[in-house]
Amino acid sequence: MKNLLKAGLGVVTSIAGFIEVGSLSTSAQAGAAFRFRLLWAVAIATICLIFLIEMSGRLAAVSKHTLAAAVRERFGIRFQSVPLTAEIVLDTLVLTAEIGGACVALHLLSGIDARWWAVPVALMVWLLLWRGRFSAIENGVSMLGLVALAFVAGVFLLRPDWGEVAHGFVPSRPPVGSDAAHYGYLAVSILGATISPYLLNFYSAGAIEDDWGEKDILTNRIVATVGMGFGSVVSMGVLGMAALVLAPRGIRVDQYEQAALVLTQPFGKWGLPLFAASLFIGCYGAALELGLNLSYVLSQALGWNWGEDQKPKDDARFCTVYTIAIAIGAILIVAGVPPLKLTMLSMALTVLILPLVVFPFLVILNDPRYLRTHRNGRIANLVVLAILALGALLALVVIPLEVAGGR
Amino acid sequence: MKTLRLDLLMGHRVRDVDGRVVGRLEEVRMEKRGGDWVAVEFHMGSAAALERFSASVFGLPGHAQHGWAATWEQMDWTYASRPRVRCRRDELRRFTRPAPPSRSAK
Amino acid sequence: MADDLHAFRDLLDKQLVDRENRPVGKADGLVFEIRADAPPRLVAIEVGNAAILRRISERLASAAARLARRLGVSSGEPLRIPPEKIVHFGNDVQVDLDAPRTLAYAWERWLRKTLISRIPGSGV
Repeated sequence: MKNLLKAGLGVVTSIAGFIEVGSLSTSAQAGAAFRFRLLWAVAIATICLIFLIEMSGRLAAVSKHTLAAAVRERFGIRFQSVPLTAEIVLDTLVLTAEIGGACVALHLLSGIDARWWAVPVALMVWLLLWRGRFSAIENGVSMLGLVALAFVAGVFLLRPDWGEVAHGFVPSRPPVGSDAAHYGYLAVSILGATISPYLLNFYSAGAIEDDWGEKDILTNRIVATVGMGFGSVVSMGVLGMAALVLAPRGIRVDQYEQAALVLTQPFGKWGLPLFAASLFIGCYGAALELGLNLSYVLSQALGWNWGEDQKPKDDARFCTVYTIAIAIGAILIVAGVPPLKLTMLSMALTVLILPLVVFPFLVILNDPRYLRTHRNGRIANLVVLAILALGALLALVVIPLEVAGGR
Repeated sequence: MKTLRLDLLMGHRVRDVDGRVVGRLEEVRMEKRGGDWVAVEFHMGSAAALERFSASVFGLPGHAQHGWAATWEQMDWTYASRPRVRCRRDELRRFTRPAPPSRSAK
Repeated sequence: MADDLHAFRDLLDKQLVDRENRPVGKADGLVFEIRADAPPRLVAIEVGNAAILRRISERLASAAARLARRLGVSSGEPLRIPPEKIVHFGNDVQVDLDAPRTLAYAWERWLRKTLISRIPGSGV
C-alpha cells in the first residue's frame, strides 16, 4: 500500500505536465483541427518525459541531491544562472496561466466572471502551500486528478473508429488541403508544452521530500512510467473527445467555452461540471507544483534551507518565494492578462531553454560520484541525446511556427 | 595580505610568458600541508575540463584531449585577477584525458 | 579526509552543512592568500549573495549589497568560513558552525521577522 502511495508523486507531477491549462487547450485544439492525427506527438512527448523523469528520480534517490542542486555543483553558478533565470520567468508565467485556468473553470461553473476568482484561487493555492505537508498535497491532488479520467471514459463511450485512433500514433504529415503550419505548430506545442523543465526538478525535489533512497530505484521506474502514463492517457482522452465531438461539427477551439462542450455528448448534463472540475483540479494542482518548484529551484541552487514539511518560520526564504510568485500571478490575472497568451509564450520559452536543461542530464547521470552504480546505461544516454536533438530542432522552428501557425 | 578569488578565475584564459594561450583554468589541485589547504597544481585545457565534469559519456573519437598542468611555482600572480604562467607552455606538464570509469550494465 | 582535493570539483559550489546537517549555503567563493615562496593558501570559503553575484556581475553584486544594508539585513558582506572549520568532505561539505546563527542566514532571519511572522499560521 505504501508503494502504491509512492505513485502519487508520479501522478501529481504528470498533472502539471499533461492536465494543466496549456496542455489541455493544445490537446483540444489538436483534436478539433486534426482529429486523431496528432496522437503520435503526445506519445513521443510521453516517452521522452518518462525517461527524463525516471532519471530525475534516480538522481535524487541515489545522490540525495535534487536536479537544481546537482547542476549548481557540477556546472557552477555562471552556467546555471542562465537556465535558472529562464526557469524562474517560465514558472511564474505558467503559474499565472494556471491560476487563470482555474478561474475559467470556476467561471464555467458559477457564471461569475473569471477575474473575480483570481484572488480566491490564489489564496487557495497559497494556503495549501503554507499549511500543508508535501505528502498531503501530493496524494490529495493525485486522488482528485482522477476525475480527469472522465475524458478517457468519454472516448470509450463514444465508440471511435479504433483503426483511425491507431493510425494517429504513426507520425504523419498533415492531410492534403489542411493548414500545414497549424499542424506543425500544434505538434511543436504538444511536445513543448509537455516536456517542461519544471517537472524534472519538481519530481526530484519530491523524491527528496518523500525520502527516497537506493532501495526505491525500481519503484521510481514504475512511478515515473505509471505517473506519466496517467497524464498521457488523460491528454489523449482530451484530444480524442475533441476529435469525436468538436471536429465533426467543425468547431475550432478558440475559447474555453467551446472546449467545455466536449464532455456533454457522452455525459449529458454532467459534461460541463466534469469538464470544469477536471480543468480546475488540473490547474490548481499545476499551480501548487509551480509555486513549490519556484521555491525549490531557488533554494536548491543557492543552498538555502528548504522543505514543504517545515513550518514557514523555519524556511522563511523558501516560503517568501512562492508567496511572491502567487501574488504576482493573482495580480496579472486580475489585471486581465489572458491565460492562453501566457501559455503560448511560456511554451515557446520552454522549447528554447529545453536543450540547456536536458544537457546536464548527460553529465550528471553518468557521474559515478552522484549515481554510483546506478549510472545511465547506453539506452538512457541515447534517449537523452535524441531529446537534445529534438529539442534543438524544436527550438529552431518554434518561433516561425508560432508566427505562421498559431492563433 | 594579497588575495585571489579562485571562483572568479574559473574558466579564465591563462597565457604563458610569450603571451601564448595555454588554456582555460579548469581545475586546481589542492593538498593539505601542515594544517593548511594549499593550491599545488593548476590544470588548463580541454582534458582538464572533462576531468572536472568526469564526463565519460561517449568517448569523443578523434578529439585531441590534452591539458596542461602548472605547478604553483610556475604560476605568476603579479596580477591576481589575470594569472599567467612564468615559463613557456611546452615546459609545462602535459596530461591526457583520464580513462572513463567502468560502466554499470543496464 | 582526502589529502588530495580538486578545488572546483570538490569544494566550489558544493553544499555546505553545519554540525547538525542543516544547510549553511553553497561554497560561493574561495579566497586564497598569495605568498612569495609558498603555494597559495586557502583562507576563507565565502557564502552568500555577495559572493555569488560577484561571479556574474559586479554591478548586481554592489546593488544587492546596498539593498541589504539599506534594509538593515546585514553589512552586505558574505559569510567567510575559515578552512579550520571544515569537518568533512563528502556528498556535502560539513563545517563546524551553527547555520541559523551565521551571516548566511541574515536574509532568512530578516524575512522571518519582517514578513513571515506577520502572517498567521507561520508557526512563529
